[in-house]
Amino acid sequence: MVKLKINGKKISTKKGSTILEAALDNGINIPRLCHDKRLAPYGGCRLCIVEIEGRRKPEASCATFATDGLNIWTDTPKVRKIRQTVLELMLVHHPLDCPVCDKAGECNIQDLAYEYGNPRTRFIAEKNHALPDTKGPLVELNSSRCILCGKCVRICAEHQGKGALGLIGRGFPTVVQPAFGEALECDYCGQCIDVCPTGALMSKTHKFEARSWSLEEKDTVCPFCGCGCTLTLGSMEGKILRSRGKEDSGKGERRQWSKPGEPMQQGKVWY
Amino acid sequence: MLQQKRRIIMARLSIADLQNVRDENKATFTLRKGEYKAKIVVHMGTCGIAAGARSVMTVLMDEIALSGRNDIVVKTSGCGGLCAREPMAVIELKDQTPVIYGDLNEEKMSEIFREHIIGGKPVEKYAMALGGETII
Amino acid sequence: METAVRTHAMLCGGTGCMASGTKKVKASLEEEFRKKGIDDEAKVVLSGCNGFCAKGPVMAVYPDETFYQDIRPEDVPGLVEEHFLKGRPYEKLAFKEHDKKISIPSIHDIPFFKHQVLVVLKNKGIIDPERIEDYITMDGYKALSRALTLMKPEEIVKVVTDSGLRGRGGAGFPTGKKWELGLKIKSDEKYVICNGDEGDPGAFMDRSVMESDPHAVIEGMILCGVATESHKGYIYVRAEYPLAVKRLQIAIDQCYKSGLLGSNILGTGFAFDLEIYQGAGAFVCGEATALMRSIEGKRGMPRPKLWRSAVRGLWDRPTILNNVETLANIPQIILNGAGWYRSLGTEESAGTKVFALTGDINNVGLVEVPMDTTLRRIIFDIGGGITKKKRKFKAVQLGGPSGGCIPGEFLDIPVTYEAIKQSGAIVGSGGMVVMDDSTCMVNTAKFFLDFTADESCGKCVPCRIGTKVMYDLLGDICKGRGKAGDIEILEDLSEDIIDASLCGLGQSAPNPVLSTLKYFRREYEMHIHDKWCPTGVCSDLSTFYIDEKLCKGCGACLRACPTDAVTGEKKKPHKIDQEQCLHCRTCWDTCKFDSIKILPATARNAGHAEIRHLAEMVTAGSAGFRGKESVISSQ
Repeated sequence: MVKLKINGKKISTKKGSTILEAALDNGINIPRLCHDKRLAPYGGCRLCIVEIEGRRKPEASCATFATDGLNIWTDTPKVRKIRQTVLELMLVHHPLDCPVCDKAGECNIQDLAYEYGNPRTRFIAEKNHALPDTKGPLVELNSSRCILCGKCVRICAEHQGKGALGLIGRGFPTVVQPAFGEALECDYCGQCIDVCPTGALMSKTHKFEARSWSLEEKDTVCPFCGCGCTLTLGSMEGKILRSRGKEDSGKGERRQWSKPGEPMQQGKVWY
Repeated sequence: MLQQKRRIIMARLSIADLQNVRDENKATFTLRKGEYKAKIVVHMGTCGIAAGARSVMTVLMDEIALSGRNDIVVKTSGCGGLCAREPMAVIELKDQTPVIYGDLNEEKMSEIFREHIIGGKPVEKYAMALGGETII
Repeated sequence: METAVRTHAMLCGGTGCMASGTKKVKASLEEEFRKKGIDDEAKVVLSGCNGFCAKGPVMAVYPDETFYQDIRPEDVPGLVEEHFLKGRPYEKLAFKEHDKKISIPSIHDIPFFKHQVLVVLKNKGIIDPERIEDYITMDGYKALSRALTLMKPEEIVKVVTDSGLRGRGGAGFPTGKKWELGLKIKSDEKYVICNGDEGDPGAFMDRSVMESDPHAVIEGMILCGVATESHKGYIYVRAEYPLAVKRLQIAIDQCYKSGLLGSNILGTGFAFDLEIYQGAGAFVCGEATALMRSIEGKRGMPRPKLWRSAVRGLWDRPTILNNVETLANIPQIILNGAGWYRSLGTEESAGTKVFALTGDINNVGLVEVPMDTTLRRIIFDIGGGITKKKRKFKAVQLGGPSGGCIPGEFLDIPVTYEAIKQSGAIVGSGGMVVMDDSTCMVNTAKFFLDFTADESCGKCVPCRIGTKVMYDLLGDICKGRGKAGDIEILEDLSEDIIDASLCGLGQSAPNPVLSTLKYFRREYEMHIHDKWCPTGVCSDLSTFYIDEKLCKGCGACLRACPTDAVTGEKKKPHKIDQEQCLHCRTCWDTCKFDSIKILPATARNAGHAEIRHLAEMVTAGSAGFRGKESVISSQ
């Protein structure tokens, strides 16, 4: 076991875990957008930055090992300032079309911006206005809302073993796209939609069906096959409108959709 | 010599072979790095060429090749100002006073090469003077 | 029978000279030798980059040690007649010091060469890079023989550590420390990588080393393999360096053929394999972790540094990555000892460093100097000073897009890692861009931000969006849309980008802005508050005005003006029609009497008296932003 201090609290964690994991295991929340416990550390969003005593610079907690004797502060003025700047930068070109975005209400960026955001932005820039890519049958790609956390790309490649999505281009114009910008052809497991922290990847069938806060969500077991994955169904006025998988729900490490494909198709059938 | 070089390069080298390669190619770098034992300056001004400096130079180059020496540097210079005694050449062995030869021809050059450069003894009968000159 | 060769014409075959026509010169030289019948005693050899790229094609003739520059095929007959037949230097092509008529034929007397100390580049221009024999003869692979037979890996690491050699790629990490870590870690497979993905604008040191002495890099890599007990190496070169790739490949093939690579090297049983990996030219792939991802065939993006590369690098195996120049130093260090290397440079920054000298300077090229050499010596003695007579030195940009611009007061600092860092720049890979006083510093900062914003991989937010936002802000300032408070925003944002970015690219991207803000803040303020670019580079922020008192009516500007905006009779003061003026600065560049003044953009519509007043203030040097009240707005 490794013993360290976070925000003055003494905690211990297992060897080889990152500072972020150590914090989360001990009930200390650190904001993050590109982290997913199933995926390798990415270090892209820079929100999980923390200050470590004795280090020259703040470090990304998702990409730093927790080692003995570290003294970590997760919410110092410096860290808050960096998070504010990062969020401000994320929203400089973001279309801010929350009123018509299905993600509104359960959008990670919205929540973080509410918590950290400075209500006044220092930058004036043209908003992204690329039209959504609706070529695929089930998934709508809205690159103007994308913050390039890469979770969709990584879950598809690392977890689903499919690699249907990729980061195309370099620097600011980078976009998440299927190969050659063609229609998304995959197993339609929908994991990319589930992990997306913003409204960049959305279910096409659920579009404009209901606001997220008016859905009543219930966990259930997928009836399609014998695997028994956990599904979270969202219903409104007695009608099932959405099915999704939530992080941390389901049987242990194995996520609900061990068999790719079904939930999405089931969901489609149901409403 | 060339044959032998090829053989060494094509085969896999050992550490001893590396030294052989170094020895064989030494002439090239004697020339480029200025680490020579003998320096010969042949006057190649208009007067020199008219008097036959060209063929003296050719003989000299042939002699060097025949001798297999790799520490000899040959330079050219312009008119020495003593056009009547052309073709002329200055031979300087390392750490020795240069010797100026005049009225050269092919045979004399060969003889001087063998006696002075290889043998180390200036050929007094052809020598005009001791002492160098500023060259480029 | 092979006749002895009495003279070697070492024609530069580096990329720069090749582009200026080396091939044609070579052909005509050979042709001319044949005509004169001396083709058996005079030989043309294509050497690697000579370093004096500004004057290409260049040639050094041995044993006379004469240097010729700017050789055109039509000059060749004269050159052969004079130099090779008659043995006198051909004055026409000899080096002449700037603005002086006296020619300096001997290579050792030319200031550009005289002040250099060659370690990495010791073979430049002397060997034919495509002949392994040449390299071997210059004591090549001697260090390797010694290391393989007489030294233990620990001893090699110790020599490198003691030499004080630090990474020449930019960060200056002690090479010995890196190797020590690489040796300590046990693994079934370890890799040695040579980073030849040189991408800084204005930097070409590594390319030249790879082109002029590829075997030195290879020997350095094998030595690194011996020292860290690894048996596989990659040379990562950008595909934009075709000549470097070609020469390295020739060198690798020669090594395999002669048993210097492969199994059982030199009969000692040590095995080392080497291959070239060509990068597609992304700047970020010069970052170690991104480079490794690129070799793995993945998207070239930096990885968070959970592990050091020496622990988990390429394919999650221990990997020792060194820069081209670092590796080329290694054979020399092993051969001559750590003490010898330490005797060059300073205590903290030992040895020599190669700099690529470019910009508004006379002798553009590659220079190698001990690290205690001052900037002044490099720029004025070796570089020959500023090109244009009427211009003065303004700043030097060190370390490319990660570095900074430092002004004249720092000219006497040595080029050590510490001193340069203290001044606000970094040694970096060794790019040195000299700027004269016609350079706009805001525009320069904008140029570098444009580069980093374009080359950012897009992974982390501060770098991807932050650099773009900064670039846009600078663009606004240069277009006259700057607002009060922009400078503070730039500084504040820079701080966050430096703290929050994932890799070195983002962490250093704001440096050009911060360093120009530090030393040329007034220029930013003039751009923002006075809408005035005092150098006239930002066309939206300048008005060109001819001072009648100084104008002699020579007509030079009139002829140079592309839009006929300048009018006037001969010998009488000229005028610029503001309606037609494109603000291209051509007239200002041409004027010999300093009669053209650059005024703020607001002067375009101002009355005659006001303009006169402004012009007088500019001449007196009293105009420009001074605190809260701008001179212009107070008019």
